Amino acid sequence: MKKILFLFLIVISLDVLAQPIYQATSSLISFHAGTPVEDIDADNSKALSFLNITSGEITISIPVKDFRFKRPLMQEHFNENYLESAKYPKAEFKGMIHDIEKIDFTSGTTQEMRITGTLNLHGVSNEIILRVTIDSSDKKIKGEAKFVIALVDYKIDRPKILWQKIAENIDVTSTFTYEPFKK
Amino acid sequence: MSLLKSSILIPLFITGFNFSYSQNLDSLMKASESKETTYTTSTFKGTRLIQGHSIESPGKGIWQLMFSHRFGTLEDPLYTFLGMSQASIRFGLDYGISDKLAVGIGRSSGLGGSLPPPTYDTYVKYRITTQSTGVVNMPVSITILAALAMNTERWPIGLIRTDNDRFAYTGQLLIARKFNEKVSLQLMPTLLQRNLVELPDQKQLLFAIGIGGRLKISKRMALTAEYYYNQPNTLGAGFYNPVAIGLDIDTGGHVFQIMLTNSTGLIESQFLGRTATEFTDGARAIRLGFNFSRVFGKK
Repeated sequence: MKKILFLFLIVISLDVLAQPIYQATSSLISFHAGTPVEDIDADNSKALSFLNITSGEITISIPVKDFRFKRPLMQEHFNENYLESAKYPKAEFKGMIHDIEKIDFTSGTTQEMRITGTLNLHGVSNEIILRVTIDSSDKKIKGEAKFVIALVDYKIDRPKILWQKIAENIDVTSTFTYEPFKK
Repeated sequence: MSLLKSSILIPLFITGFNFSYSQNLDSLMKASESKETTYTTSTFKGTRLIQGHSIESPGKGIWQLMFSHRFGTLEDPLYTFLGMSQASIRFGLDYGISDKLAVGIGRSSGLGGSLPPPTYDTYVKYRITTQSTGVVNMPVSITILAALAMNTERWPIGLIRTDNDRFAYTGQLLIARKFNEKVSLQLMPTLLQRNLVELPDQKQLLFAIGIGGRLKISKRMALTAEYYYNQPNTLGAGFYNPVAIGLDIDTGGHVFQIMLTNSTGLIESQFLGRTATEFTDGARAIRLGFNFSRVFGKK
């Protein structure tokens, strides 16, 4: 019994030493917040992410200032009036992939997975569930998720004058490509 | 080892490992974040501080239409309706070739008295550095500006003038730092070459240093100030340094700048060299003005 137990623990520790950690080598997060009156689109390619394919843990850090808008004035409003990026410079997501053991990251096929985690945005944390489509091939894992953020959930105010210009719910698309982490 | 002990140990080990996992991802993230550079944006709301340029440009692919007015003095406000019986006007178009490079054209004119002659102007401005923190640590944003003005006044027949006399050239370094969300300051070392001066005590080549800044008083409004100090004994008698204080109002799609200034000029060659009243003279010198800009995006 003892021996089996220790063997089991050693296997786990070896697993730890192997460090099945992946790092996002490219990322793109874009959102659409427009209404028929005005298009408001932005994207950010500066997000960082790490993924542990054994434990299922995933962490994402998004520098809010790096959302690029078509118009500089929109970008200023986004940073200074809505997201208050000087006060809350980063949006963070920490989550856990459901049933990680059922996902084969080497299969080269398209699979669906779910991640439950906490999104911290504008200083407010909410639990969200993401449906992610993953494509894995040749040591690369590409994941894409589409989700909706309700501004009210994150205490992001919309000024009354402009309310027609900014949607209440923001459509977000994010794509991350991971490769094995190299120090 | 008793069964009890191991039943405690196993969850402990497992949670311990889980803990080390998450520690790992967090510390990897921290190390990764420390390699990033954060660039400062929105140092000023507009492409003009008040009279002169700010370090800001319209942005890639953006057109900006701009109307600017400077009215008559506030000396007899009821009779002239706050000076609006007189006006110098500039109509301009700016375009962002890239996020760093912008060009613009404009045409200004005034009606009556000391107001500026009909003048066409064009400029090119380029952002050399952008303020940043992180791996790249840059304390200031610097934009270089080159501007050309052409006076298209119909000179009286008999006056000995050459076509060359119509031109004035401005070279400017705009050096700005955004100290925080509220306060930004800008320094503007400026050279202005005027091919034509009327009086012997006016120098053709002017050197000025400008200082200006903004203080945001709400999410949509900012107080601004701008002052150019010209090298003494170069402007000539009867000409003064331009001063302006203003209010930027950001209405969402456009920026409205309203200001009080002693200058009638709308471009560098006019407000630097030909400001003919002294700000400290109060209502006899100060006039109301505004810049109104609207941007048009790619789609």
